[in-house]
Amino acid sequence: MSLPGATRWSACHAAARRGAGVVLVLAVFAVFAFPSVAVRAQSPAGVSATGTHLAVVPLRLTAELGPTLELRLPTGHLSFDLRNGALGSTVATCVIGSGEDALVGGSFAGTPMVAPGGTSYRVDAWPTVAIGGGPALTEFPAPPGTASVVCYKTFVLGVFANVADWQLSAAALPVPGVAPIRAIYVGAAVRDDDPGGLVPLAGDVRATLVQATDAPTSGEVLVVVAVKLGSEPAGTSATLVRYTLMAADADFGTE
Amino acid sequence: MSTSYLSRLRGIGVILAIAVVVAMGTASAQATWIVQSLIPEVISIRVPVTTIAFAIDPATYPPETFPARYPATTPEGGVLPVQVFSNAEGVWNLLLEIPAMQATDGALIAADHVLVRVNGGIWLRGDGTPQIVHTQSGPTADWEELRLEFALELVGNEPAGNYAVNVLVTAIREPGY
Repeated sequence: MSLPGATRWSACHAAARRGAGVVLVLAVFAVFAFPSVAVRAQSPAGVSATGTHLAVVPLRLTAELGPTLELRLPTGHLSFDLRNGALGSTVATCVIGSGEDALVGGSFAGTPMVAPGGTSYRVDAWPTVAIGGGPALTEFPAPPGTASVVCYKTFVLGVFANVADWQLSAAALPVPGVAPIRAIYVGAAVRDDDPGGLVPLAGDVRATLVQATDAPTSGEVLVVVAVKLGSEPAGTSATLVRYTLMAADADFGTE
Repeated sequence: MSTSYLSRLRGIGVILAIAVVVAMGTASAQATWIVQSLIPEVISIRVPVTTIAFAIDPATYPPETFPARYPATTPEGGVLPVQVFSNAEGVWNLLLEIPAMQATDGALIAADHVLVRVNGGIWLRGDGTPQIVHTQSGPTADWEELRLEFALELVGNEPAGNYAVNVLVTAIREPGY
């Protein structure tokens, strides 16, 4: 009988001692723990915190955005189809030009800009352009005595750059086995900016269309392509136009 | 044996008997102990990881259209299990304080481009101040797990870079009245 009694007494005593300990701990918390909290590291990478009324854990939020350039062409094929004499809006807008190209507005990024055959374009209502510099061509072939015919087409190029100091350029490359377009021009207009002239793509010319030194962009560039018809033979002629978006930093760009 | 000797023996026997009775009475007496269990009021919070990362995949960036949302890539699935333990009556809240993210070159992603939702609820935007994202009443029976889902909204004008910010997750019990 005495042994169980002694055990019970010891258990009660121990409980009492623990109770006293708890009371002591409570007192300490009451004084020091509110509103501060205890933060403990958890294995392997976690963390916990405890307080009487408040517990706070910190998190680290990170985001990695790599330097990115992207071009989005709405089509891989731009056709100036003059067959059947149909020159409606579905093909190209053609005007009768004066023959020789005229320099306009000096140069852009070192590239001279011209009005092909004396013709030009302006942005009426984005992204629609109006062609000027001569009477509209309503049928093909053009009337006798026509110095030149310049046909225009446009498209909107999607441009994304999350780096500053980027540049959009274009260059002409031959298409193997196909006669090249002899006089092809390219220009570009950014929304709310006055367009300049066009750049003749000949030889190794890399025409700078847009040059931005400021912030990144996620926008659109209206690209204007013109061909001047003169001595092209009947049939198909083609030129590959390569658009390049490049950041100023070293070898970083997309085509 | 003389009569006086027997009388003394009887006297001693009576005394022993009384002593035994007294002793038996003492053995059956009980002591009473007051056992108190004083458990402190606490509120605790724990998370398995402390980093929420958005490693933007070039395969999905830039997106077809902006704005676009990207789930967190760490922890897996973009969900952070936050466990809260509260053993007291009263309302407790989970608060998040999400400031703007800043790159090493000073570029910023605004706080309201970081979104969070709890247990699949509605998305809330950060605003740089402590925001209540979850409210619950009463003690938790066990560790209460809340699933915090993070997303980053990009609008297209964010410069490339490595952005970071410290976010505070707070569990707080409202004072009783």
